[in-house]
Amino acid sequence: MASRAQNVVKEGVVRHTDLEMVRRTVQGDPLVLKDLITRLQSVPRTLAYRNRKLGRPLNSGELEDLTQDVLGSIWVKLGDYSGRGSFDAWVYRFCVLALLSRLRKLRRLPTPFADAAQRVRDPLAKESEDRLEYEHIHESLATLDRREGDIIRLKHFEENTFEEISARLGMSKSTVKSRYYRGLIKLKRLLEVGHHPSEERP
Amino acid sequence: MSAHEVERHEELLPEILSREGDFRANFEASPLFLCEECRRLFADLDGFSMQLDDAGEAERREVLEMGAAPNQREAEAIERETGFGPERVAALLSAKFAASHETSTEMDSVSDPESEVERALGGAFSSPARYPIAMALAVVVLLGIGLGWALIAPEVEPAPWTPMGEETRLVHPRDEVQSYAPFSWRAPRPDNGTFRVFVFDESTGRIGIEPLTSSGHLSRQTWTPSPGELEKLPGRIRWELRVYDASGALVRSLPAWASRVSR
Repeated sequence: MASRAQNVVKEGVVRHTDLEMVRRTVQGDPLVLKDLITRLQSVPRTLAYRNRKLGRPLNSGELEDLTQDVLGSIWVKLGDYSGRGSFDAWVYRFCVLALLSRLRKLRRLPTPFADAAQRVRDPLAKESEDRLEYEHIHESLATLDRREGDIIRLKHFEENTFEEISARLGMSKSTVKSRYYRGLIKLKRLLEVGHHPSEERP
Repeated sequence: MSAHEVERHEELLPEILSREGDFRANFEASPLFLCEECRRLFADLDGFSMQLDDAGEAERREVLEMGAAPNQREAEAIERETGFGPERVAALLSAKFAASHETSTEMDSVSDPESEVERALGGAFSSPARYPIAMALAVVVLLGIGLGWALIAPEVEPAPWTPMGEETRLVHPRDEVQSYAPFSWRAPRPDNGTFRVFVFDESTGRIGIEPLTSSGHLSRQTWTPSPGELEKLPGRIRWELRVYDASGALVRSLPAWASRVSR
């Protein structure tokens, strides 16, 4: 528990630095470019790792094209990074969703993805290795009301307390909780029916 | 109290389901516990929250893992599978930075990527003039980055990446055009190499990552999509020329933006 608390403090510092780094890069400050490049070295690694984990549905040429696309798109979308979560997690989700989007387009989504709805419906899923993959969650979160999605993301993926979320989003704690509750119900329904967002992501 | 009183109960449920403190005991002690519907909702959402916690933890673990420096074997595997090693990532991003901020004079004669990227970001870029000293350091820093990667990652075989720009020119379509076709460019082709064109949607303000259409591998310097494909293209596009060497490895890419207007 202590290490988790330390992480939160550590992450708090990192988040601030992340936003600074991105803003300064976007504004044309070359002194932070090296940091950004170092952080984006994770892109090919993440795409290769996720592709392997899914049984290599993309061959190396296709993965190379996707890597090029993802690096280019992240560069163009840097201005969208709000600093609400860590930059590394933002990049990671970008890669995960881009890979899913490409696989869906190529109609090569591996079979386990079709079982996502069953996992949510099955209360024992969390006990088994066949747990809910976060790809599904992020895809569905992107279709929720933005605030509701942010709150769930901050709560479960960034380990924020409701107090911290309230301060971050400038909303009262009770509003945060009721939006969290509404969002949770919507998200569960989306995942239960095996909702697949359209091809617009990320 | 057995009936689910929607307004009253659903005002209390968010507090309980925020799972703060001893929330399970609080739930059992609350009047909601006597309501069958609330018990069902609580069990459902509590279980779902735990699944989300698990997923969040798994993601954090992987984010940390992906951010750490890979060992040599892993680095080689990544480069083999994606074609991207550290130097190529650095070179690509450095080139994008230079193109976005006019550090390369060659780029000026080719296109105006800064204003194009600025539009894509909704004006998030400020003028480079805000950083006059820093901009003067840009070239030094960019060179330093390249050298730095060479020093810290000597075991990785350099990727066959060539800085883009000086000889490559995207001719049509650019800026405002009546028809996107034909896509044409002037670029040196590597021996037995090929070109490909990828077209992306820029009409919504969101940056599309999935191409709307793309060419096959071409040896000529022009490409016309089918009439059906052309018709479906939106009012604003980004298109990318990619140059491949004989082995099929991507060696260069350059984007341009265009809007279709009717006159």
